Amino acid sequence: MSSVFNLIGSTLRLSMPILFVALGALVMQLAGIVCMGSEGMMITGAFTAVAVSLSTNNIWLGFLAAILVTGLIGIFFGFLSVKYRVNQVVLGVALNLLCAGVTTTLNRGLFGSTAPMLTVSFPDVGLGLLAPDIIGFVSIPVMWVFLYKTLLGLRIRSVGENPLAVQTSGLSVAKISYIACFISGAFVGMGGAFFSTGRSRAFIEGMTGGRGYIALAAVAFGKYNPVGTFLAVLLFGFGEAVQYRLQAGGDNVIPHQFALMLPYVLTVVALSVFVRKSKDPAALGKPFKSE
Amino acid sequence: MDSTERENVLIRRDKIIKEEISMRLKKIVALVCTFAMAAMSVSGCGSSASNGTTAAAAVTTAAATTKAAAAATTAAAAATTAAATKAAATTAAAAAAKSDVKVAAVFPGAINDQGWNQLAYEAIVKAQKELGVQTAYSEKAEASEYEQLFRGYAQQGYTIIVAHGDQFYDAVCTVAKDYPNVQFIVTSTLQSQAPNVNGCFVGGVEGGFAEGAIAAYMTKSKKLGVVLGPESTSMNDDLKGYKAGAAYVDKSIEVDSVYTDTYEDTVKGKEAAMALIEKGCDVITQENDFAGTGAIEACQEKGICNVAGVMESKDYGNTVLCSVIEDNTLGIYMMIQRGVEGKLNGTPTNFGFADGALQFSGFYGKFAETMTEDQKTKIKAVVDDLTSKKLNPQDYVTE
Repeated sequence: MSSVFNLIGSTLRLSMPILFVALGALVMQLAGIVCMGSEGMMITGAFTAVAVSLSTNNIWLGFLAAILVTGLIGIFFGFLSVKYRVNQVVLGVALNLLCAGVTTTLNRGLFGSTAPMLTVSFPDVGLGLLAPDIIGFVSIPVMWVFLYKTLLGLRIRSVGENPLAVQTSGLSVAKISYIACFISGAFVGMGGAFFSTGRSRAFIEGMTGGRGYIALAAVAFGKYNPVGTFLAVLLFGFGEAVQYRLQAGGDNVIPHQFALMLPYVLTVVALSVFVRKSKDPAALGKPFKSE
Repeated sequence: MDSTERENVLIRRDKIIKEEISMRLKKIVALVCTFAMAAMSVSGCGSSASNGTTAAAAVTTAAATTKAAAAATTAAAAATTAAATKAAATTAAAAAAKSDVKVAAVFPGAINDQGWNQLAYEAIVKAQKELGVQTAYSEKAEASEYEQLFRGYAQQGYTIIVAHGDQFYDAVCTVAKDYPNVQFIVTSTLQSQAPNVNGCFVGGVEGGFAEGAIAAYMTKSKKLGVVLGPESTSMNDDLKGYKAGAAYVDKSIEVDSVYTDTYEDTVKGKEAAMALIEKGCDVITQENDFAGTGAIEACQEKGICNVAGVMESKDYGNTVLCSVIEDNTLGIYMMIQRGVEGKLNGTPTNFGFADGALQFSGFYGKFAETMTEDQKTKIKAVVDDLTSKKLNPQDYVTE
């Protein structure tokens, strides 16, 4: 029985930081903006949280700072893609590269080239889970209610589906997009902060290792729905948790190369078997041009 | 032209101007993005060659001319001053003698990456300070330019060329045939080619052997766990040695291992260690640099003894019993020193405890308090025997 609990614990520990990022990406994608910059925003959140936590010795301040900084980056991203209608994929890639470089430079500038320093840790809530895990669980229904039961949620989704209709009804497409981008950035930042200060208590250059992209895949996989996204993220986390146990299971149960492939294979198979068609928002990636 | 027509023209012109402005802004944004990317590739965000971001071209710089730039990175500066004071302190004639030997090095990544490349760069700085050699180096070398780089240095009169990593081995062998008077040092490999390609390896089987033996003396459950990085010759050697070391102490001990495929991702390191601990391993060792600190974190949470590999890990938790440190800087420096003395002849060297390139940290943390004197004596005996070469780890490797 304990091994089942251990597996569940490990799955959740691996999934939760990605969940935050995925929920953030979900909001931006629903607003019709491709969230290609999720990886860059995540690493920025990770760095900000560690830098602020180390200097104030308060881990929650780091968490808040990460939300603010990446929220602002989100708005900047939205500003360029809505106002100046920059190609969102190119912009996202540029942002990812920029964030990787800036965090590396700042990290070396602030902390030197020595071994990384450890921050204090979040309160433990059992199963090896921490306080922000609870925030993650609560975020799923909250995000669902926000997107499907509130006026702002409806407007955000409308901007992603038919911005012209939104404009015709007298609302500002740009304003709604910026709000969506801020919320998105804030969630991605939480994911980054949780990943660095929560899971490893330190910042290491390039530590997010593609999790921002995995989150983006989870959004499409989860059919643009918070619950679906959560399940998609869990599946990936489960694959990874299982592969470590397969490897640890002793020699030659399964070659380690195959074990390492497992989370990715699992995702691809699930994607092609269970998800017939992922319905993207109609205006996704198409900058709105007001007439 | 009547008034409505003029108005129409004006509106149209207005529209054209507006579009032009927006076009210009777009261009500016694009330019800024381009600059940002260019700046990054220069400033070394692609520090680790593995992450795929790579600079457009390798920057070839003579160390002498970029001394100021190198000093800008604090660590490099610290290393330089440390080397300088050491040089001043040593009475060795080599320190004073100005050698006219020219040493070049080719690195796969940035020289300030806090790891693999920086350790080798410090060896070059040390050689410059203590042996008085002239040095030059290239960073972020791309596979397409390996041969060209080595040929370039050989033609410019560099007689010792360091290639930092076994990925350079094939290119070096090709070039070396044309320059018999140049000695090539290839790190992280035990391959070599007479008369002038010299492999150089720090740790490997011997380091793993020491860790495995130490862990074997500490275990109660007779299950040991090893957290590994990406699969490579050196990783596999670490594991081979570890198993041999454990078997040297007790043949019934089981060694389990997990490849994490990363040197940076501490979360993966931690989960891998968790899986091993759940399986019943009561001593954990990690071989994957900073990602390994995650494994220490897992040990800390579960109160599991940790025998650290690769780097000094004392500060990452009080469940760390000791570290077996691989000093790559010293290994590469000693190879260069041999080259200056004319002692390189195309044979590989495996540096270990005997040369000081492998170091045993001594005991610390909470497990040091509870361990018995008998355990301490036995562990020290293994390290001493490895140092005096009374014990040859290769004899115990089964695979």
